[in-house]
Amino acid sequence: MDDGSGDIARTPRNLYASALVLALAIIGGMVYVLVNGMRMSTVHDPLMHAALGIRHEATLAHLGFEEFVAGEPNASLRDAWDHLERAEALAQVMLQGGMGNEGYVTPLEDGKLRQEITGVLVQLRAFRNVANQRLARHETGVDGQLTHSFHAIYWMLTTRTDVVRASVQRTMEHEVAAFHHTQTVLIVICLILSGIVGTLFHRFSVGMARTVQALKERDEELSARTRELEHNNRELEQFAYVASHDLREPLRKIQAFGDRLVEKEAAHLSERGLDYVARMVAAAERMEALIEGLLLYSRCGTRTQPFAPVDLNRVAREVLSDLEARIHDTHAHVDVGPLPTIHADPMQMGQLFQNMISNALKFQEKGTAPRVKVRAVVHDDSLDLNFSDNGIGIPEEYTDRIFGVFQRLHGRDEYDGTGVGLSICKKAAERHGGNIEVISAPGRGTTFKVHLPVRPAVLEQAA
Amino acid sequence: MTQRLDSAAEAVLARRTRRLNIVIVDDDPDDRLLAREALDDLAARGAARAGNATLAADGHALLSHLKRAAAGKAPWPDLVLLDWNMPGMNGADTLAALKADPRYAAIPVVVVSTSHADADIADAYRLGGSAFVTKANHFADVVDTLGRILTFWTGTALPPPRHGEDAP
Repeated sequence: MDDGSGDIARTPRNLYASALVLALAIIGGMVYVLVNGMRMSTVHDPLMHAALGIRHEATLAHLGFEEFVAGEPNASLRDAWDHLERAEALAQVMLQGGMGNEGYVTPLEDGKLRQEITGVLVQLRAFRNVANQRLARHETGVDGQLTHSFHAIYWMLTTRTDVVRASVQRTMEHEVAAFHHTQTVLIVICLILSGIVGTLFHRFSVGMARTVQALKERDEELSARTRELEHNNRELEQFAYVASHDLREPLRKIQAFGDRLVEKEAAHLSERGLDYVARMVAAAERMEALIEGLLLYSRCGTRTQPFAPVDLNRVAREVLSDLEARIHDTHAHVDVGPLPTIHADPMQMGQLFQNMISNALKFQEKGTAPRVKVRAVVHDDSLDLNFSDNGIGIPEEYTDRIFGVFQRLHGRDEYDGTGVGLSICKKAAERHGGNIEVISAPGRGTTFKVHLPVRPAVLEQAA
Repeated sequence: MTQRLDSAAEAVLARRTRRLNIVIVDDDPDDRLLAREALDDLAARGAARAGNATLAADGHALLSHLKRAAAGKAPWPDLVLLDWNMPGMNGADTLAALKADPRYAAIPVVVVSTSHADADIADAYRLGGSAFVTKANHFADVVDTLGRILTFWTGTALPPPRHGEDAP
């Protein structure tokens, strides 16, 4: 499952890279083919034709002069000179560029070939001189020496032209071969890249399908788990309900028949016997308080209310009014600062304030008037509710333990209670994504910092 | 005309002062014993006195008692104290059966339970219960609660006419 999702993360990057390389290769190949094709027709081809033209024109001039000397009746000296001139012009064009016999000619780049053509040009001039001298002597008779150099120059001229033409042709053939070679390489590269892209795409879609399948399975698993949890929750609720009724029933009987025993049979009981009964009934009462506490704790997790705007000032007022008698009896002073309105579970906020303030009132040195302070510290994205008292304090080694269910630090005859209050507070804070911090030392009072990460949007400082 | 009105008013007033026949339905023998002792206690102190008190161990026993009462073979109950948590046919089933029968639907039913779960309380009223009372733990409280119930249904509230009484 995990390597499947890893593939998915890796494959698109490879896929994109390969597609990019493929596109670049195709573009590069096209540019190469275009440039080469153009060079073939614009550079090499006209040069070839020019070289062939020089040879052709020179040959025609040579033939024309020969025919004239041989006394052919329709031989034209004028044409022969024209051919020679055209051969010279073509040689000139091959060196400097210009319009040749087959379109524009780019000047030769290769130094050796340029030398050859320069040679050709020199030979053409020499050929012209020799032809002139030969025609001038023609009337006086044939000069063997002149005729010999006339043919020799012509021969050298054509040889040199052939060298240039052959060289250009070779270059051209090389380029064609290289072109074909490149073409083959390009095609192979394209095929390989297409294969890679195809494979990657296949792996990508397979991985995608696997991931989708995995997500679907996980989704189903999750909803099954949720159903199971909901079922368990209902069962727990049922259990708590049954416990509340069935566990209490015998306790009620112990209390009720204990009463009957004292009322009806007191005459038959000794003082000690009456004390036993009284203790028994008191124990049953405590047991009942414990069951009640356990129920409260379990409901705190299962019977939650949806979050709604809660004015903590009002919550504090209601709690103080519930605790009025105790505040009056202990001469306590409870100072509640301005509190914000937050998005929270109204009932759990009530339980939190109730337990925090009643604990602060309860855990006091005898004869000391409790002083309780409730303050809100509003941060950007959270809220601290500080409950401080001047009570007996908590030894540091116990500060973790006090939040456990039924955890008590004092004997019953010192401070009564079930040890459920703080565990309910902790549960309430946790449901709101928060926690509770204790700052305390024996004899120096206690501060409970209830940290709630409530959104600032719903934080309104109450006027 | 005036004569008839007067006699009708007198009949209603008489109902207010007469002793109520009650049926206590509870599967728990201990609770039935405590209820019996509480009634005796009330009578001994002259605080409140029930008429005929019948103890039923479950919903079926109550329904058969009502049948006999309708047939005139048993005293017509003015008030039913019904335990909510009972095995088998529980308080809710019994209350629903009682309210579904037009002969018994007018009889006030006070639901008694150890539970004080909101869901139970709401169900009890929704099914036609007249009151929901939590079972007391101490005997003195049991006596007190029972005394208050009897006093309310005689001194304060007007109980419905007995079977046959409302016939013109």
